[in-house]
Amino acid sequence: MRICRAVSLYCPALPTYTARMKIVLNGEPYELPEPATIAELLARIQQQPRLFAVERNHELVPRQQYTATAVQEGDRIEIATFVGGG
Amino acid sequence: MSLIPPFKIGSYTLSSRLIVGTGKYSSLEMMQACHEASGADVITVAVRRERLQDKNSGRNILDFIDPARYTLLPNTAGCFSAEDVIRVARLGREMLANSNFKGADWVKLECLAETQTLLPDPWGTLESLKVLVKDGFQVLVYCSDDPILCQRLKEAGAAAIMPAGSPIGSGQGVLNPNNIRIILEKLKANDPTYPVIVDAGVGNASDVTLAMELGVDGVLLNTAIAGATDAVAMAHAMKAATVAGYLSARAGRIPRKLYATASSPMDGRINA
Repeated sequence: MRICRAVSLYCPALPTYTARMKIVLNGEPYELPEPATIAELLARIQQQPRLFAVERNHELVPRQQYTATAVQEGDRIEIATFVGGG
Repeated sequence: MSLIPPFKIGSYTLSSRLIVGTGKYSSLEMMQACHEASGADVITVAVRRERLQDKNSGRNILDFIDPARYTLLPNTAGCFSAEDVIRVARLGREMLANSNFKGADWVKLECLAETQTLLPDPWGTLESLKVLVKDGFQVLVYCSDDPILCQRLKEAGAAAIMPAGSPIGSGQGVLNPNNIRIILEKLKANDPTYPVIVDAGVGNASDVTLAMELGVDGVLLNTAIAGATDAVAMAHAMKAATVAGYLSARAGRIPRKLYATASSPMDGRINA
């Protein structure tokens, strides 16, 4: 901690370290307070266990990989479901 | 009404010649009643972003479709590029593979060019068809009624070809019956069970009967039922219309003649 403070005194331009992450979720900006997996993101938004599917950066994420897939800064996440339509 | 035999699209056997959509109904209950009245056993659904607000207050469309009775056909409605089509098809498959609905490995491919006409983009359609076929999908391809395009799409591996009768939701019926006739001739040459389904533009029951009389295997419609003033009545009508058209097409109609031929005998008339 002392070293960090000393560094920040000498280098005031250094940004304070933050784990907050900005992503795009269903087309809207969304901020995560800390790194998360897809599974954690779904829990955070209280995603109900009905039919849905997840894409990360235009690629389908199979549900078996939700806990293993990390969300990264700038990711575009889509959560899709079925709706009425021809 | 099992007056007509079932038919196959890829690995699926359909008892009804009608495939119906799920859009534009006045309510989910109305949709459910119309599906029932139509007698359809395949129902097509679209894929969209999940509503992240008020999720719990929204009713889910799939709660109104019985998985024991209906097979779902995911569609790529609203896709304007091959990339979007491929993404949506994969999303639909992922959802159904993890559900108690049948229909995970087939898809209605719709790749549109523009919103005004909702005409399909032929190049995007062919490009995405090739990828989806390679990816293991059975693909029912929505396309225009160009016989050569239909032929190329069949050659590229489509499980069914679905030419439009007229633009989506336009209610004009089959505008070019001759093109449908040529498509049927070309696609069913040496392959009589290859499925051809009129999809889009149907307005009323006679449109469906006419399409079936041309010889198509089935009709896919949505707006004609959902937008009708009495949607349930129209659904009943559409069901009857497919049976009427199927039987009429095979019953050997009388020829059209310029002049009259009397139905009653000339002999024995009291004033003769």
